[in-house]
Amino acid sequence: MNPFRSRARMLSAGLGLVAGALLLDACGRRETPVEIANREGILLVSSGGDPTSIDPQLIQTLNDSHISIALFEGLTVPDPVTLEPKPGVAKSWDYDEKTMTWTFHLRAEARWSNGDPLTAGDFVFSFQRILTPALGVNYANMLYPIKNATAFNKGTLKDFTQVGVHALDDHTLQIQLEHPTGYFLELCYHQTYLPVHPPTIKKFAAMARRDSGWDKPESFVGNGPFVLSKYSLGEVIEVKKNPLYWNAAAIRLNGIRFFPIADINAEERAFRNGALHVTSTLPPPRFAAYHETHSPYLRVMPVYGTYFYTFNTRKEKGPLSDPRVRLALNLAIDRQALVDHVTRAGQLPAFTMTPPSEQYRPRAQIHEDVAKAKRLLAEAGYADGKGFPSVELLYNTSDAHRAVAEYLQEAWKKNLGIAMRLANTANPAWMNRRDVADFDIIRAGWYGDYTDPSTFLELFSSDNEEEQSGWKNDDYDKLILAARNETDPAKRMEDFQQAEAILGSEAPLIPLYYYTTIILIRPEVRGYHNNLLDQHIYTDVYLDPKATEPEPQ
Amino acid sequence: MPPLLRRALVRLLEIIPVLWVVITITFFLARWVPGGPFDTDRKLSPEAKAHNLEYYGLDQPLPVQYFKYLWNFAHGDLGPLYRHPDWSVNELLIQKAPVSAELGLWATLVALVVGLGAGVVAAARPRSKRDYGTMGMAMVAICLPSFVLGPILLLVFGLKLQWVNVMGWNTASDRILPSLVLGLYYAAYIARLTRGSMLEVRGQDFIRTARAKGCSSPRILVVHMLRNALGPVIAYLAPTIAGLVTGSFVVESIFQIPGIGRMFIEAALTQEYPLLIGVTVLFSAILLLCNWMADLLLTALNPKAAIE
Amino acid sequence: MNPMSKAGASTLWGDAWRRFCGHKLALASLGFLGLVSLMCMTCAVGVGLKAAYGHGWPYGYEEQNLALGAKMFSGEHWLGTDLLGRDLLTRLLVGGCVSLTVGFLATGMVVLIGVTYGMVAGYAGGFVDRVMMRFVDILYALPFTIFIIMLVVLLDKPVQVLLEHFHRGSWGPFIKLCLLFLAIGAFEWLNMARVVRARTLELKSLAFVEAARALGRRPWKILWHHLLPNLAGIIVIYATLSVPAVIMLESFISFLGLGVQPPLTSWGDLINQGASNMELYPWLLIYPSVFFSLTLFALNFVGDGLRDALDPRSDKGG
Repeated sequence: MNPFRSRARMLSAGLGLVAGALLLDACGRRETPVEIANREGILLVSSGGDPTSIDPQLIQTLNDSHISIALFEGLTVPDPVTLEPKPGVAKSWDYDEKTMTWTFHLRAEARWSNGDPLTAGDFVFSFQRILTPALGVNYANMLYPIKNATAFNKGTLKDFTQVGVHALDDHTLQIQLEHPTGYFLELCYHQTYLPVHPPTIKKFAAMARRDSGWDKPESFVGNGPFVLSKYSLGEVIEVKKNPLYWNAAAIRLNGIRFFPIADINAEERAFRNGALHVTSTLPPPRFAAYHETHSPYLRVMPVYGTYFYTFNTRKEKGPLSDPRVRLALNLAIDRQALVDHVTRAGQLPAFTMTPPSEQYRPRAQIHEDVAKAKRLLAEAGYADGKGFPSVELLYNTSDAHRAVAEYLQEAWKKNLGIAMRLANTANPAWMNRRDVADFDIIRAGWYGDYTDPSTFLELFSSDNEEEQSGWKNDDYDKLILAARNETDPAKRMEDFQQAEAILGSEAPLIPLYYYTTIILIRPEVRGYHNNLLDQHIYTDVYLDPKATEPEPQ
Repeated sequence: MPPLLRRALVRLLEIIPVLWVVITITFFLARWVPGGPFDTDRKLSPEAKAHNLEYYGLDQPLPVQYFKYLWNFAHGDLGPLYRHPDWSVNELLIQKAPVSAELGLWATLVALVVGLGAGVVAAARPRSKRDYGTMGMAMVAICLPSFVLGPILLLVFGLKLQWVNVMGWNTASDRILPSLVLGLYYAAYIARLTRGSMLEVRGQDFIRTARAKGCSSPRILVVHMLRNALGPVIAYLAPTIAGLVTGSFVVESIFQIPGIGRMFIEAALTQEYPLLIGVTVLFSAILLLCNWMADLLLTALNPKAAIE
Repeated sequence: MNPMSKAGASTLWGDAWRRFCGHKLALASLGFLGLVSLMCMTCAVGVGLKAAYGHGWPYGYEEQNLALGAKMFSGEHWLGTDLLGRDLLTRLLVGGCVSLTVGFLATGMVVLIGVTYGMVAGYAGGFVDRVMMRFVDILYALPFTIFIIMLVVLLDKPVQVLLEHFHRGSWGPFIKLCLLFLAIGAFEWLNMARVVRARTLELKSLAFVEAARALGRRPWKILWHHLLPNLAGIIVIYATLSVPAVIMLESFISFLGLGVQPPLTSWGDLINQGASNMELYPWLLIYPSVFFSLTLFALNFVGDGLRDALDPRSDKGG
């Protein structure tokens, strides 16, 4: 026998043995991470990508905020189902309509995780920090309802004592508003209103610095139900129960691990492998499989958000500056078919910009009407799509967006004879093109920051910096301004209805569907309820290892 | 000092100016792409953007930024991360580079052992069943890129059999699948290169001489043929190892491994300039070192080629 | 028949072709490649005709049928449909057209630049070699993705404007893809250069080269007549390895959103999509993978045949 071959055989046998041993070590009675975590009382969550920061004043996305609300607590906290503001750090409050002033009475027992008492002055300091222009936080515009906050943030006002937030004493906080903001208590639990620990900030000279690193585990101080214990980018963010939290008795979890898994297929595999309790999303093609088998893990949460495309109305001679063309494009799409066959994740078709909620059901709806679309297009001079210049539909790279874009392209071709070009770019390039208005039609989405229609409708008023389409309408602006200053809730809603109607006829956008957040969640997780803002306060959440049925929603 | 050793040392020192050129080209190339690190989902107000740019010195003229970067670099400060301000590039590299390095080394081991072994086995008897069989498997491995092979293996071993974790880099068994997925692709390349190169050498005179002298087949195979055929393999290995050791985007994403491979690509797409330059320099340094070692090896294996 | 009937000028390449034809498997593979290319081109033409005149190929590659969804096969769709109900066979053939064009374009560039560069560096040796290889090292160390992004972004507007000028706006995606691959080829040549240089260094020291030099032959003649045929083997192997590497690279680039723009597709793009959905819709992965693999196998055997044909001293026996 060829000695070389036998040597090769021995080598491969040896390797095989090593590999086999490793595998054997792995299998057998493998205890999954979920089983271990159930025993230890730790929740395993996927947070869908590395957070921008642990500092609550620097974060941007919804996923980031899921971590912030574990580590910090605001004046109010949301009810897990209705999202009604409930007492948080503030145990009670009064409102004076004439001066538009809120007075919050803070709990005496509230403290920071290092034992320091939590005072009203801490909130004043925190608001000043987030409004400090040099910190460059654009989300600070959530505090603009506060008197003079806008001026201070823009740099025209230098003296923060002029801003309408004052500490009357250690436990009384007074906030004066610019205009009656009916949803102000809801704003108080938004992540931009969360407090930060002044001595820590001062020690790290972080008043106007983003990269001070104060929020690393060794120096972290927060006032929430959990404290930061491990922070490793791309790996895990771990938080542990905070014994000094004023309501520590009510916390039933011992800790939470957030895994920043960016690849949604990897996330779904991790769930099925027993590595996660809750995912942040679900790959759309898999929805049908879970849905049809009535999987107990599937959870569909309608949320307060809209998926839409924005027109660039600026080009003077271009077809998109003509509202008839824009409306025609809107009318030529079957949105129901889009959600039934393309996105297929239980979304609702959007016939208006603002999603319906308890207090507001928009009347002006854009339903499919191909005949009218053809007529409008012909009126605008492009009968049957002839002569329609080359227009580009831009979306940011993802399978899901691509499927929607291709559907739109096909629908317009079939119904109107318009050949739309598709283009996709990675996120930063896409955002850049949006910001410099270098697009024809661009994909957009908007999650409401709070459950009031103004969060959507203000997007299209011409003084809004986030306004992308370049569309201006004086009547619309007037209505939005009126709503801002209106104290009668019914009249406010009526103003919004009329504004919505203008959007419906001028169509600076193409609303497509209202978002649903679809996740996989294990039945052991209890107290994790559906709500429109996808906010889950972790003091309500607990693990019941014996539960086999998902909790009713 | 013997001339070969002197040449080797000179080559080693040459790495420094090359690294400087790399830094410069990367720096200016990266800034040429439109867009900046502060473009976010929610449009940034012009004031906020201006403040951020000013804080990081990104509003200054490019040459000023360049020299400032070089100055910091010389002092060991590789700069901040714009989108994750809690961390600096130094901290990130110290934490994540060893993970990618370990993954890369395991993958290299797989690639070498499987690749060389398969190539030698195939070249031992060309156009036999063994030859076609091995090369067939190599082709299959090339046709299955990591983002296909990974999910397939994960499906079988992770989900159906539930033998291994599908994500993370904690236990010993977490190393198996990622190394295989990453390494088998390169093993196939090495197998083909080895086989092809060995077959070329096979036809040459000195092999016939060795056989006439009565050398046994395996000895011919390994000692004479492989030694002379390793040239292209070594030349191929140098950049490959450097690439493997600085992380693989696809494998790290699929297996959720906290390495720098993923962050490197993300840095390229999100204009994290300091991280981009930092990882590029790391990759470059490793690459140049690997090339240097490859050159030494080539000289050692075939001294005639080195004498100029 | 007298085997020497083509006596007289028994050139290197003529001999090579004859040897190649003797290699049954290689010949069959060449035929297969030709067949695949023909099918892809027929489909592309048919689809183009359909788009322009309404007749031709039965399905457009972008035609969706949402109610149908993804099905494995049926009488109307021989290879089934994808998630949006598009005919998979059509998309495979159009994708093949894109992939093959792009693969060969890039590889052609790789061979042209890489071989020339490597031969010159290896033969010249000394300082010239050192400088040339340092240049390669520097280029290789550059962040490849950034360069590609940069090229795509910078060329995006000018190319579009140019195409609109000639009223060929719809060719935009395809032309941009070709440019992208020329760019990739402009990076892939580095490996080829390195490998060729290594080989040249080894060959340079062999007897026949020294003899040619002693005879006073000009360097370019030496390179072309003596070195190149001996390098042909490794070049061919590396080239046939390059094509699939380029196609795989293309799928990665498309995955990042910079390559093929929908509804246009390529094999890499189809494999990418199939990989995400392989559990529920395995045929979405199987068909493109099989097409791709078979083409690769064919390229492999053609490469083998070429190497045997071009290497005058390769051992044909066992």
